[in-house]
This record gives sequence, C-alpha cells and structure tokens, in this order.
Amino acid sequence: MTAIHVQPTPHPPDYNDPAFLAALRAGDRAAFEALVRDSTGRMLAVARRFLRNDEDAQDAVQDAFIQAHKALPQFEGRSSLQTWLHAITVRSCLMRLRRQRTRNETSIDPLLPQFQEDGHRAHVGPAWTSGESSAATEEQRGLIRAAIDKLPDDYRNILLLRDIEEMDTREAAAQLDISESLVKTRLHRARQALRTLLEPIFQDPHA
Amino acid sequence: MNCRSLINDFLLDYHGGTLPMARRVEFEFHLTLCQACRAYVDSYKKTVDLARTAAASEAPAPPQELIDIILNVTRGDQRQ
Repeated sequence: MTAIHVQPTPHPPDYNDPAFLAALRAGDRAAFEALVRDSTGRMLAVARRFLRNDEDAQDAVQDAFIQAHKALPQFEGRSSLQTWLHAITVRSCLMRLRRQRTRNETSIDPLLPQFQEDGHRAHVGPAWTSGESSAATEEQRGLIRAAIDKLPDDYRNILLLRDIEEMDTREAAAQLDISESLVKTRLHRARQALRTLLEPIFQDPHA
Repeated sequence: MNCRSLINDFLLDYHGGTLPMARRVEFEFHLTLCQACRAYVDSYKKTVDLARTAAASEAPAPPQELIDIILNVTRGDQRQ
C-alpha cells in the first residue's frame, strides 16, 4: 500500500478532500493529528452541553476519539466526517449520562400546561415581550441554560439532541434507542416545560 | 379543535411544518379566534429559538493536555 502523508498544519484540514479522508482511513498519524487539533474544540462544546462539567466533557471527547480512531478504516463517507464525529461525541456523552447515579428523574407534569374541563387553559398569563431571540442578554442566556438544566434528564437530552444539536427525529431515536413517536412526545413536553420555566423571564410586564 | 388539543396534540407538528393541510387550516382558524392560544404558540416558538441561541456556544480552545492525551492514547491503539 502506498503511504499517504498529510503534514500537520495550522490551517484546518479540508474535510471534503478525498486525500485527507483516504489518509485517515489508512491510519496516517499526521492526518489524524490534524483532525484532533481541529475538531476537539467543537466536540468539547457539544460534550459540555450534555455533561455540564468540564472534566466529564473532556473524558467523553477522549472516548469519542478512541472510538472514531478504531472506526475510521470503516468510515464510508455516507455522512460528512464532521457529522460522523458529532454523532460519536453525542453517543459518548449519552453513555456517560446513563452511567451517572445522580439523574434528574423528577416528574415533568407540574411544568406542563393545565386545562379546564372545557378545554381552555387554566392559567393564561401575559404575552411575552416582542423581540428576536438573538437579542437576549448574556444574563438571560445564562438563565435559559439554567432552565434547560432543570428539565428531567429524559426530556433535557431530547431537547438538546433535537433543538440544539439539530438531529432529526430518526437520529435522536437511534441515539437514545427509543421510538420516534416517544422522541416527538418528549420533545413537545420538554419545550412546553421549558416555556413554563422561561415565562417569568420573558412575560411582558406591560401586557 | 379546542385549546387543549391545539396545544397538546397539534402544536409540535404545526411548528415543525408537518401538520396536514386540513388540520393546519383548522389550527390557524382557531388562532384567529383565540388570543390566549396565539400568545401560547408565539411563546412556544420563542422558547425553541431562545434555547437554540442560549445553548449555542463558540467552540472553546481545547486544552493542549487533552489533545496530547488523545494523541497518546490513540498512538497506543495504533492500527497496523
């Protein structure tokens, strides 16, 4: 077999370059090192969102790279390399979360909308302030992240997978090993519960 | 369609753009009549957007130590 060498470079590797992918599949160290140097930051950001603390996040990223390194010879390129690495990172985080003893398994029911017998909502508060979500202040963003962390784990994980990591329902179901209909049910409840938690922050006091 | 079914049964698909046409017409007709549901649907959309905005973060500069560990561990696992 002809050796393929990719020199480490300060520039990000071209993930669509067939020579780079071939080098990775062939076990070229320089190509793998370029991949690690370029991807670790993004993978760490994903892992921090799921695992909440940096030490666990770093361990999850390390596990993900070990799995990716073993699986690279079989990487067929059906998805992009970055999508593939992202999925491996998410799987590594979810496995770590399953092993954690301190799971938040509180009921989500108190955070869901309540209805009267006739189908009308039992409590209707003021409308929310207008304005784009991108205009949220840094303080508000911190409060939103804290609210997401208050969701029971089964719901928080779905919200992260679907709304933050932007996986589709099928991918999220595969990651969690549950049905697509359960993903949809939990996603909707997670959003409803998060909406309830955000209500005091974003209700318009003048409405 | 009442407020409960709109909010509990159809809002997810409406938001995702997958609610069948006949249901969507019914859904939007209800919204024209119900200010409380209009406000709920608006706040639901904002919740999704706010979560996405708040959780998205810049990729941190990875610690050199972590990169070194990954490279060392995978070197020990080097394929033949």
